[in-house]
Amino acid sequence: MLVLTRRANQSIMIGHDIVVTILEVRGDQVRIGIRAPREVDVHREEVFAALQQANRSAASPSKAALETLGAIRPKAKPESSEA
Amino acid sequence: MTLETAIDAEITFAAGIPGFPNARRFAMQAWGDDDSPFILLECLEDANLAFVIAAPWLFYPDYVIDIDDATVEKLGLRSAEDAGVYCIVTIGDEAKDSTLNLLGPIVVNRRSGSATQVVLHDSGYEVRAPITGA
Repeated sequence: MLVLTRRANQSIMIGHDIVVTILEVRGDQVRIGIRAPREVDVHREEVFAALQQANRSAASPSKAALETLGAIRPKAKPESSEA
Repeated sequence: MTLETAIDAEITFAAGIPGFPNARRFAMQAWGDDDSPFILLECLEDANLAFVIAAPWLFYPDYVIDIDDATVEKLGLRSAEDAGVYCIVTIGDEAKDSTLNLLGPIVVNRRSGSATQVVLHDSGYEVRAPITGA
């Protein structure tokens, strides 16, 4: 892992178009600003891991699993939804 | 716009979704009978990959989603009506054990089909919220 020392208001470039800026250091917390192209998704690592895991366990349900959905009915009617 | 207009559409995740970075193009298809709240999201690049999604409000009428500026820009959303919001369903062993990912909903631009899975930071919503409702 590359390790760099930075102060508040200093930045790091990743490639040509990702800028990571240290905004504030207070105790054991660091506020970081990230400027990246719109096609790059930026996530907190633990949240990304949680989404990865959730997506993997939700992916490609079996036919039998799909059948169980037939028993589930929502509280609200689809017609009245603002979705 | 009603929910129905967003079904049977093709949507594209430019950056894939967490866990499936190469899965970009999906077809949305109503699943089950007319009263079924569920939609099948089938990957057009990988015939073995599919998800079940549903509009969160059908199960959590008070669900609130605040779409951040970066997402608005990324998807080219011009108004709230442009945005379709769906949550991925994880099917449990029994129907009542199924869950909805309220923390990471899928937001779709209904006009263009551009889609992304967002994270509702600090919302307090769960990745595995019971589908039986709050």
